[in-house]
Amino acid sequence: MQVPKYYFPGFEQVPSELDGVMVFAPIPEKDEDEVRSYACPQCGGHLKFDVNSAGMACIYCGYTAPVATKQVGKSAQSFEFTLENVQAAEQEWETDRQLLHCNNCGAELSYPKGAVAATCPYCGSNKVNLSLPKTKSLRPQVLLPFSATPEALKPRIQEWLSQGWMHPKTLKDAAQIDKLSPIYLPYWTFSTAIDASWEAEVGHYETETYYDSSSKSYKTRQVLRWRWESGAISHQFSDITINGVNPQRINHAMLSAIEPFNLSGLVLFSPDYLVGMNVQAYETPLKEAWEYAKQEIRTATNRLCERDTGSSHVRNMSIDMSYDDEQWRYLLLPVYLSGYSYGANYYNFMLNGQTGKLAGVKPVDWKKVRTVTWLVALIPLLIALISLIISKISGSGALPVFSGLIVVLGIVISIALYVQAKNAEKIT
Amino acid sequence: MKEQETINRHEPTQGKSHDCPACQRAFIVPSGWQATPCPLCQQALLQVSSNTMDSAPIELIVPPALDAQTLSMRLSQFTKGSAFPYPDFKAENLGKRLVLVYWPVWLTDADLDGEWDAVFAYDYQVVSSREKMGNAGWSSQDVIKTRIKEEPRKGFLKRHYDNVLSPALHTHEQRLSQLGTVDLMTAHSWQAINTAQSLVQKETLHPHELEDGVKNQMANLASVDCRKASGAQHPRSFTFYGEYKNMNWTKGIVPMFTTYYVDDKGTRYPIAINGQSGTVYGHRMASTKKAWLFTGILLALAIILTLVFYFAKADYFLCASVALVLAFAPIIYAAIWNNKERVKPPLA
Repeated sequence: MQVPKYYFPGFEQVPSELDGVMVFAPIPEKDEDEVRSYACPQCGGHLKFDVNSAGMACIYCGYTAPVATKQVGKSAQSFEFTLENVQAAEQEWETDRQLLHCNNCGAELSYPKGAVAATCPYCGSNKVNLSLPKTKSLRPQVLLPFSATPEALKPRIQEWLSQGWMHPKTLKDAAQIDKLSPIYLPYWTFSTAIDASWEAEVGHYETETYYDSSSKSYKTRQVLRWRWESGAISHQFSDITINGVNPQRINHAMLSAIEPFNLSGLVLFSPDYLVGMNVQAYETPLKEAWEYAKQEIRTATNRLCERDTGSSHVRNMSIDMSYDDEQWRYLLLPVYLSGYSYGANYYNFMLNGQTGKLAGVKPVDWKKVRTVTWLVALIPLLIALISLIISKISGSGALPVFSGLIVVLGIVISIALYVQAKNAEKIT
Repeated sequence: MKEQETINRHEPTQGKSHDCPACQRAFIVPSGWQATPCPLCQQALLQVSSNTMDSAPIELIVPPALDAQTLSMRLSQFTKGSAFPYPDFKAENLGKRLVLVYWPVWLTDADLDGEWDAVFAYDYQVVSSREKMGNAGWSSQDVIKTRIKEEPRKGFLKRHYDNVLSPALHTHEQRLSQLGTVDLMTAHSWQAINTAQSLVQKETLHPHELEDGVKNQMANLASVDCRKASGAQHPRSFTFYGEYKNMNWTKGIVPMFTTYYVDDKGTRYPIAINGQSGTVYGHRMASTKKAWLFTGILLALAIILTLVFYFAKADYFLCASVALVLAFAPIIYAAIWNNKERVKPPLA
């Protein structure tokens, strides 16, 4: 049988396992393994994704063009843990560094594994390198576009720097804030249904009548009685979010502090969104990320089973849990990375590119903190001394007790302030 | 095959066409057979047919696959366990009255040539988990589960299909449901000598009435082939847009044995046996005469018992009453049994 390869539109011939039968299957989506160049159709300048217009924009002539995509929200396509996906996720994570040739200035750029978009540091040309994983499901299918603009975030950063008496008073004015670097970070989301059966000793308070020999009468009291009980629960976990960034590259605690992201704003992946942005591919493989998600599921299931007992007294609980309809998604979420110099030191902070939520590190004015903690401890001590002198003169017995209480309170408050200052040095 | 076909068309079947005046079935009866009762209804003698419509020539024959011992064993199994059987309902009687009857089927060959459009389902495996929490914490075990996904497929088909079985009798489906399936693997070319000592039932359906049904059957076979060619495990939907070329109809005959038993009034009850598998079908009626006899004996015993208790002034009157009622059990059981048997459809 001689038939054109694409006789059926959208279908292509595939091998047949039987003579006399030709089989055509839907054409899989083309692998876009290429470097796209974004030049302005009006002036030839470099186009980049513009958060304000939510589209492509030329920084020279003001040309704008919308990004052709579709908002899919939480209904975005998800994948199952097929043997192929799991195997591919393990293998393709090992992809080596990649080379990107700048068509604009000819520079050869080297990018670490995982980088999927870049700006040429020599000429500023925006290229999007789509040398993505071979397995379609391991490419970002959806992303959350930046919606918080750097201009709108600047006052928030200033406000954040000025917050807190423990930080230097001059921080807001003296800090030299760097440009906000937008970056799309890799995230995994997981959804699954679970069926769990539990067995545990459950304690119930029961009213017991007993004979009180001292009052020679019958009385009642509440006693906790333990008995073995069992039950079963079913639960649907949806969109458990696990970031796929190497913790050595980006501070996970800071990243957690700017979450959550509202996934209802997810749009279908388009390389246009990546122009002029830094993009990081996943470094935590699928299997490892799923393990992190399962830890969350275990904790939550344990809690659900305990709640199912109907008692707050539970011991020796055992759970048998099976997963069903496990689904995962690989997506890119928007984050601004930045930092500021203050004095001789440099401090990092990051912002949620969707909600503008900010988290970062701020220096602590230890001179100020020490003064305050000493004062908080010393003033009660001074008051206590005066009280003791007065009590000695007046002969009052209550004042020494009062003085002691005040001293203890002062010490407790000063320790609490010290701990708070220590914490303020970390992520706020 | 074509040469054989030509020979068969001109060779007489060494028999005459006969009809059953009771059930209207038509048979080819070997020459020399006199006063043959209808093997399928046993209600009348076959009479020489006045119908001039000739039967299509036989091309293929499936020979019987049962030996005498197997047949006897099957009949013994059939006669066992029947309630109040008629005296005539015995395996040896049935065995003596066996008649070999061939019944017709159509076998169709065709070339299918055209496009097809289908949705097939494929098995795939996923890695799932089963976890347990005990005193030592959580332990996890990977579980491989098989799931199914549907995918569209299209293509072309150019294949030849041989000996697709279709009915030659209006009662074909009922007969298959009564006697079980037919295996054409042992079929060979028919020769007149093959049916010299047997009856051959004549077809009631002709190719022109069957074309749509056969095309559907062939499309089903094509669906199976296309699914296999696509590497799919499960069918979902299939449509064939093409031609059925070189359609060729062959008449084949398959074997069955018929026999009968007689009740107390002389009525004959026909029984049929699949000539290949030995499946037996027929009504196993209970003898009401025998059931009444048992009832009478039990009733007499119950009356005697009642009288004994009455005159002995024993307090077992309740027992006697129960015995009187139970005495009617045989005839009630026989009535229920016969009702159940009568519900079964007659021989197809």
